[in-house]
Amino acid sequence: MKLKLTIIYLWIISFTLFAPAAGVSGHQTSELINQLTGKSEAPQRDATQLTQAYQKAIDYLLPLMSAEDVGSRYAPQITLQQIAFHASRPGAETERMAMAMVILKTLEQAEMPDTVRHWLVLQLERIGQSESVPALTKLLSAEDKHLRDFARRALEKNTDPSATQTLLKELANAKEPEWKIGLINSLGQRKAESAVQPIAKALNDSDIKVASAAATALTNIADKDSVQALLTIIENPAAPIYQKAAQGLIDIAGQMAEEKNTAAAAKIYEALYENAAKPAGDSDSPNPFNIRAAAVIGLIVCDPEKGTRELLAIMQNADQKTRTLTIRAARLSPNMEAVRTLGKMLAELPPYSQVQVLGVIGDRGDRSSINYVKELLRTEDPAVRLAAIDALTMLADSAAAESLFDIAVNGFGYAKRAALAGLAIMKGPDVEVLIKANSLSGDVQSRVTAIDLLGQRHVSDSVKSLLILAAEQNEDINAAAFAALENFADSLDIATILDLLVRTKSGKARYSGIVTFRAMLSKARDKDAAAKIIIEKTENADSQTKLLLLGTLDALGGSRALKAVAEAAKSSDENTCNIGIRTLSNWPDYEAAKILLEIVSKPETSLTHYVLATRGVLQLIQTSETTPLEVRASDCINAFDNARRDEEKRQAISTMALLPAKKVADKLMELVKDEKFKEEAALAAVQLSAVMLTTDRQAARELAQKIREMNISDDINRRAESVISGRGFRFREGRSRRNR
Amino acid sequence: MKKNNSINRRDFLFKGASTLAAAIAFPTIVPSSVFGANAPGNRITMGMVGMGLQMGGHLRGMLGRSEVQVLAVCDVDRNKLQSAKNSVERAYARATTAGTYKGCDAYNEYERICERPDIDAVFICTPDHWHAMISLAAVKSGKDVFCQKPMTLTIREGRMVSDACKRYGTIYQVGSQQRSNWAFRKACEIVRNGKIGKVHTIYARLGQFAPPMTLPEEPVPDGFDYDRWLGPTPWYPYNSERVKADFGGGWRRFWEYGSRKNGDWGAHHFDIIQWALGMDDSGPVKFVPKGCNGAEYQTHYYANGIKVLRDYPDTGGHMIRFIGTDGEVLVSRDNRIDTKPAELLQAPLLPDEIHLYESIDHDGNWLDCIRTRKKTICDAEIGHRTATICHLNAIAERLGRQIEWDPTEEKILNDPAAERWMDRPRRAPYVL
Repeated sequence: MKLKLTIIYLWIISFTLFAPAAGVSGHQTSELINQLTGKSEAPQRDATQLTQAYQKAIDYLLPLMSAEDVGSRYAPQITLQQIAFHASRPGAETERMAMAMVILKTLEQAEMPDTVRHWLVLQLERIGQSESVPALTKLLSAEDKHLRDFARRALEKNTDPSATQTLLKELANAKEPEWKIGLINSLGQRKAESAVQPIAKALNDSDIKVASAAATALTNIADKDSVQALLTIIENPAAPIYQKAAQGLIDIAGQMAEEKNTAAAAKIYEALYENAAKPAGDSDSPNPFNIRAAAVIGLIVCDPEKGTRELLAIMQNADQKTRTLTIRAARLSPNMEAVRTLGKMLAELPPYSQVQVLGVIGDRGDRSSINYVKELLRTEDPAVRLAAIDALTMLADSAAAESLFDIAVNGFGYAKRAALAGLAIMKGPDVEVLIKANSLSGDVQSRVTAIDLLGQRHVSDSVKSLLILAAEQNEDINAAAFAALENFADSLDIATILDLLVRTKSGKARYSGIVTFRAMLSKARDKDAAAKIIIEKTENADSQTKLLLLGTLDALGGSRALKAVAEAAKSSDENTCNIGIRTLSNWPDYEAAKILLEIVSKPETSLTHYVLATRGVLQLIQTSETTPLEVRASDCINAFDNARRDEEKRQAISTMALLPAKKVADKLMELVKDEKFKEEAALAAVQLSAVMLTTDRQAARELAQKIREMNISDDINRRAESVISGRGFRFREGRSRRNR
Repeated sequence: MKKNNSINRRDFLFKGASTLAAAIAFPTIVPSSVFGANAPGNRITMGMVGMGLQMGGHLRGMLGRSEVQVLAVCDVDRNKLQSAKNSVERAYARATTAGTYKGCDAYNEYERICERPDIDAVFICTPDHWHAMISLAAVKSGKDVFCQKPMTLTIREGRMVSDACKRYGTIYQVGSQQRSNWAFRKACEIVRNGKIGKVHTIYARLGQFAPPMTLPEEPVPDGFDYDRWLGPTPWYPYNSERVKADFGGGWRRFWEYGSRKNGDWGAHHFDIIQWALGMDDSGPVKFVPKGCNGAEYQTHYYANGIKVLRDYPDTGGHMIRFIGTDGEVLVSRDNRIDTKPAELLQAPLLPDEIHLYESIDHDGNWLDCIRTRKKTICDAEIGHRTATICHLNAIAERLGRQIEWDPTEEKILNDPAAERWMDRPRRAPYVL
């Protein structure tokens, strides 16, 4: 749709631009514009020829830009802009100058809409240099206030020094606050040191907005005199523009610090810090906590010793808000002193600050504070305890690992989970050594935890140990080892694990082993080879093991395993038959569908097996996207026709909604007439039509239309209308607009 | 492949993270009772600015969090403002025994919010051209800030906001929320850990807006402060289409108020690409617009030769496609991710590999960081670097020529006219 609109739009542009100059002249203008915008190669032109060419282009574009139909003005405006942009490219000074001169000459014309004049001045903002200053100066007195401001902005961007003089002169005579603000701002943006004196004077303007703009302009200029003028303001915390001046000084000092002029920056921060600590004249004025915090943050970078002292003072005495902001200082400090100082204070701080300081210690890796951190593992506050665990994870040394391991073994709730999660990703050789040692000896709970971590951390050289542990004489250790082995499922030998599993007698360990074994089977590359190993194993196994192994084959899939399971499903032995059908009902490959349908259709199939088989086949129909649609459609109809109960018939109808085939649509239309399945079939049909919108739009709409005409329910009508309108709807997943 | 996040924000305050040079993440699960979150005195007090289309979901989200108290709303449209105030007061009234609540102030000017010492944080959902001005005012007055993407309208604005955040200790979150999505993080971890080999090409699907337009003047509706809506941008006659909130157009289609699709969707996808390449403090070096010197697709290049193509048709049905010497990662919203080979997706991340910052709730991550004072998942520097890519692509598109960029010095090279686009002059009386 959007593409179509764009094509139509481009066609309109071409028509609008070149239709008036039909024939040879139209072609010539088109070619000229292509040359001037860089779309086609231009002949060599001298300055005079360039002026003529630009003039010709503007003479052509100007009436179009001023057309009565405002909407049609856009294309010529953009063409003019493209010409200006192309002329401003590097190495094309003659073109730029010629284009600017032609724009300036055009601006002298009396007749053109204001918006067109604005557009021309806007181009000068982008490409104008010294040649534009006189004309722009004149426009500063234009009647149209918007035009005046366009001109001011063009001067602000003009690289020629004469633009500063013009703006300064205009400022000297400016009366309107808004105009003064604009001029002051432009001079500030130009970093005009020659403007500092008049701008500093404006700091005392009766209009606070003008005074604020002056403070901002001085911040941008940031020379010695500007700094001095701003420092004078902050001596009085009650001054109306105290905040603006202080904020300006923070910016200036920050810039100085980045330029490594730390001594000068530190002086400014000190002045700010002292003044921010003074009581304001008006007792209702809030304490400038933002300035105080920023001053300490800056100070710590420029003078770490002094900054650390002030940080300490704030952490001990200031309010929560100031403390919270100032914590940042410790993150930026060039040395670790501030972090260590905070570490020592940890126990005395309120929980809110403790959490923040623990974050700093962890992120900055201050191992010297580890004992203070460990102290807080015993604190009452859960947030503090978790922050301490987080910090220890980041510190990642043996002491930290031991503490976390202790919590992982003996702790509970989220602290235990956090410690385990931390140990699972903690870096460093110390951690690995600790975990391996604990996996081999100690009490069972410690060993189980350590074995679990060996798996989570995917310590590859521990597979051999885990295999030995899986055969130990302790079912908890066996179960933990099997569970850990699951993390290596893609690299384990099937025969080895199978042997181990068959020898395992404990229920808990066997269950864990089966989970791991199934994970391995699902990743097996040669399914038939894997099936061969398992089937051979079942031949000599006891009946319980045999059933257990048969039940794992659905994790493997493949034709060899399928054959074994299908035979089991036909077995006269009740248990074997049961496990066979259950395994088949979870089969991953579509080849099982035919066998399952046979089971469904047999009257002698028990109700449980019939339900399992129906669900199994419908699941395969829904998920086997590589199987031809027609096959799945026929099987689904077959499943419906063979279903004994309405519950399974409804499940089949719901599956039909996913199969955009004609026979399915016909079946649903037939079922819509059946009172018993009317609503389910109508809903499935309308959902099917939404799916078909992407494959056969017309058929989709026709199907939806038929359903709409039946007027079955408001909900179904609404969905049908969405399809008829071509919008469609999502019926499987919601989608939130907020996610944009 | 799709995955649903199993951890519910209602159940857990955060799955927070620590970062050390953005290279490690540690997921801690903290119950919502921490920090005494429900105690009124401990709530994060908030002012919301820009009560339009984008704010709707955020406002509902904030009103549903017991750790937040919305104290003020701000908009230049009186109707939207009143409606937002009513929504806030209705929501809080439900929690009172009396069934009434009148504690939300409504302002036309965001400055009123910044002046209030009782407000801790500011949530910004205005059009792009107001992001930096409001952000800076809030940051400098000591507030923490959430700002919708793209963070800024110009490159200089981004540098200013990022610097200010460092100087004031601000917790700043940019609304490029794909970082808080499992699939995008997973994709970035796969790329960052070299699992698809050396990345050489990336496709990003941004889509297209209809072109901008010239519009006839219409009367400004009663109660709509059009001058404030325009703010620092050039004056144009009022037309409802210009100011319309519309994800498919409205103000988003005009260059004056944003970088069109480069800003709108680039702020999401270029952001993820930066994350995946480990370029959060840097950026590409060359930007070539579509059609320039025969370029079929808008492309930007990193110094190591990696190229990012916009709207290349074969993204494999995904939003972003990373192509490396040994494989591919394809990723989209709704937690969709695919890899070639497929096994890459299942490969575990070892302790010594790069674990990226983990967040599963973008707004919640900001609130968590306000308390812990840790970096957010998409802080101002990250937002600035991403927005820079959006803007440079847009500048190249408008100028119709290649732009060379020095990401260390943050300078456009060898093109003085293009350099002027580092910032845009502001209409009086608006000052940055």
